[in-house]
Amino acid sequence: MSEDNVDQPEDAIDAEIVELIEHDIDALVQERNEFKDIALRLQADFENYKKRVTSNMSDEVDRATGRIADSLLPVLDACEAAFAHGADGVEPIWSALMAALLKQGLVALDLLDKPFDPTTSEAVVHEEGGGGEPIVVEVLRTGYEWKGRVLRAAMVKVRG
Amino acid sequence: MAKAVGIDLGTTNSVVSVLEAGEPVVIPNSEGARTTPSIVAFSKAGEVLVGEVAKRQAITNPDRTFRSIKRQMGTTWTSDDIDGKKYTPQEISARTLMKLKRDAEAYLGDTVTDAVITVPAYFDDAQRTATKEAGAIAGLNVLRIINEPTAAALAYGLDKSSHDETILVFDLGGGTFDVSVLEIGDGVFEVKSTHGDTHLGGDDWDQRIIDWLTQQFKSAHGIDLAQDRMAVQRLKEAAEKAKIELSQTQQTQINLPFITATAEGPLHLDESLTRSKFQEMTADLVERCRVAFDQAIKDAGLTKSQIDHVILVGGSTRMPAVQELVFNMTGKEPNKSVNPDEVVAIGAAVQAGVLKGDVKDILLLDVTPLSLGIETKGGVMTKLIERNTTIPTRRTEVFTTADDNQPSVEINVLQGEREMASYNQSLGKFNLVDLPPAQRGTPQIEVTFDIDANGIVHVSAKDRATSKEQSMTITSSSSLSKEKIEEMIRDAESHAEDDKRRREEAEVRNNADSLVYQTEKVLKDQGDKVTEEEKAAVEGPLGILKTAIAGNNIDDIKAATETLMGASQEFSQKLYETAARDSEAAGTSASGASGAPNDDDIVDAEIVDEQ
Repeated sequence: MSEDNVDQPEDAIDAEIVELIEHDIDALVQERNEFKDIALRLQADFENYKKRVTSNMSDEVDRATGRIADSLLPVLDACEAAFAHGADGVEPIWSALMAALLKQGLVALDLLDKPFDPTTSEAVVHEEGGGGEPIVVEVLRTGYEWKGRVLRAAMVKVRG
Repeated sequence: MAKAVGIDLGTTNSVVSVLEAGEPVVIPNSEGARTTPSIVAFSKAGEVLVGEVAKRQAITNPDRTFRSIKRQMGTTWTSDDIDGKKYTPQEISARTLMKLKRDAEAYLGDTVTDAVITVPAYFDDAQRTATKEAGAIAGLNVLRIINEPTAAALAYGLDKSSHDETILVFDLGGGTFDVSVLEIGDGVFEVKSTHGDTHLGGDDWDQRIIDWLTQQFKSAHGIDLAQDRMAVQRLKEAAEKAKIELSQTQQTQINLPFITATAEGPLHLDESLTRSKFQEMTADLVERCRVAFDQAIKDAGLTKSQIDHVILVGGSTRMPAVQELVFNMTGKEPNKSVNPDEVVAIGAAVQAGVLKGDVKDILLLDVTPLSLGIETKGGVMTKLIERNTTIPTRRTEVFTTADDNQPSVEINVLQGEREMASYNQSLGKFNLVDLPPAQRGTPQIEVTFDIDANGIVHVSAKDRATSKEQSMTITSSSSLSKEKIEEMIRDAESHAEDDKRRREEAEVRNNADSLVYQTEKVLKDQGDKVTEEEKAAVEGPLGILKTAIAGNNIDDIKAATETLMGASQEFSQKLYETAARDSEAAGTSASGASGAPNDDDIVDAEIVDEQ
C-alpha cells in the first residue's frame, strides 16, 4: 500500500510533466504553422505582385503613349473638319499624320450605320426611331482606338 | 489571399483602393481609369452598364439610366418598372460596387471580399444601412461604413497624433460641396459639424466657362452655340480642359476650329482666357464655399485659429482660387499631398487594412536607417547594405587581399553615408586569420551582412579556400536617435563633393598601386625576354609612378599611371613580337598588365558577382 503511494505521486508528476510538454508542443506547432502560413502567403503575394507589375508595365507604356496620341486627336479633328469644308492642301498633311499614327497603333473607328455601341461611341443627339435597335446615323466626331483600347469614343447621332 | 478594399462610393464618381504591403494603391477599372462614374444603366437588351459606358448611352436611354443615385439612398424611392422589376437605390448602387469589385479582382488577380465603404458625415441611419445593403448585394462583406472626412483624415495618418486635434475637411467634388469639422482624440474621430451645398461642384465652374464662350461667340458671329448639340459637347470638354489648365497656368487658349458653319462657310472659336478673368466669373461660387465654411466653424463652436489641420478633398480643390480661400479662411496651408480625387478611397483602404488585421505587428517591417559596409583599401567605405533597406535582409559579397601572402583580413564594420571609412561610425572590428599564402587578389573572402528583424547585425567573413570563418554580432546599430541619423545623412550630403573627391583619390591610388605591382611582376617574370633598353622604357615610368604614389599630388599619380600604362602596353607588345613564347607565359603577362586597375575599388580586386 505504502509502496503504491510512493509510486503514484511520481507517476502523477511524470504524467503532469508530459502533459505540460505536450501542451507546449501543441502551442509551438500551432505558432509554427501560423508563421509558415504567413511566410507562404507573403511569398505568394510577392510573386503575384511581381507578375502583375510586369504585365501592367506594358499596359502602362501603352497608356502613356496613348496620352500623346490623345493630345493629337484635336489636330486630326481639325483636319477632318477642314477637309469636309473643302479647304485646300489639308488632305496630304492629314494623311501623313494619320499614316504615322496608324503605324504606331491608332485606329479610326468606322461606326456609321452600325448598331450603336456605348463602348465605342457617345450619343450626343438622339432621334426617336422606328423602335428597332439604335443605329448610328451620323458620326459627329471620329472615335479612335489606341493599341486595342478605346482612346476616345466617337461622338454620334443615334436613331432608334 | 483575399484582399480588403476601401471604396469611395461618390455621387458622381467612385474610387476603389487596396492596401498592398501596407501601402494604399488605387485600382484602375477595366477601362484603365482610376475613377468610375457612378452611373448605372439598363440597356434595352437588359444588359447592365456601369460607368463611362452608361454615361455614353444616357440620352438614348434616359428612363433606364441612373445618375447620382446616392442622393436617393435611404429613401423609399424606386425606379420605374424595368423589365418587370423596380429597383431600389441600393440595388442600383450595388451595380457600381459590383463593377468596382470585378475590376479590382481582375487587376489584382485575387478575390476581393471585404470592404470599407465611405458615406458623407451627414448620412443618417437609413442612408448608412442602405449603403451597407448595397455592399451586401454586390457580394461584399462590408467591414464598416465610415465617414468621408474621417477617411480623408486617415489617409493623412492624422489618427496617429498624440493629443487631441481639430481637423477641417474641405470637400469640393464634381457636384457636391461639404465642409466638416472633426475632432480626433485617442485615435477616435468625432464629427463636430458639417455643412455644405449639395449642388455645388466642379461642373458649375465648367458651366461658367461654357456660358462665357457661348456669349463671346454670339457677340462675334450672332450664332447661339447652345442650340447645337455637337458644339455644346465640344464646349463642355474644352471648358473642363481650360479650367484644369488654369490651375497650372495664368492663361489658356481655347481653340475649337470648325465649331459650326453657316451658309457663308465654317466658323471657328478661338478664345484666350486668363486665370483672373476665370476667377472673376466664378467669384460667387467661391463665395458660396466661404459661407458654408463659416457656418461649419460656427456650428462646431470654434474659432478658425483652433483648427489644427486642413484637408482638401475632391478634384475641384486644385483650383487656386479655392486653395486661396481655404488658406484665407483658416490661416493654414492645407494637406493636399494625397491626390484629392483619391484620398477618401485611400483612407477607406487604410481602415480596411486595420480592420482586416492582416498587418499584424509581427509583420510590420523596419528599415535600416543608415548604410552598412566595411572598410576597403584606401580607407574607403564599401557599402553592402544601403540605408532604407527593409529588414530582415542579408547580403554577401566576395572580397580579396591587398598584398601578397596577406595572412589575415581585418573586417571593420562601418555604419554611415560618408565615402571614407574614417568619417563613418565603426561598429566593430574583427580579423579572419590564417589565410593560406597566395598572391594578392587571389583569395576569395565571403563577407556576409545579415540583419534580423530586430535590427541586430551579424557580420561574417569566410575564406572560401579553407572554409575558415569569423564573425561578430552588433546589437547597437539601431540605437542611434532619429536626430543623429538625420544629422549623419545631412552631413553626407553637404560633404558629398569632398567625399567624392577623396574616394576618387583613393581609387587613383589603388589603381596606381595595382599597376605598380603588376608591372613589377611582369618585369620580374618576363624581364629576361627583352632588351635592357626595352626594360628601361618601363622602369623609368615605373619609378616615376612610385615616387608620385609616395607624394601627395593626385594629378601627378594619375599622369604617372597613364604614362606607365602606355609604357607597359608597349612592353607587352614587345613580348608578343619577341616571337615564340609558350602562349601561357604571354597570356599571363598580357593579362597581368591589363587586368588590374579597372576592377571595382573593393578590398582590392574584383567583386565576384554574388547574391
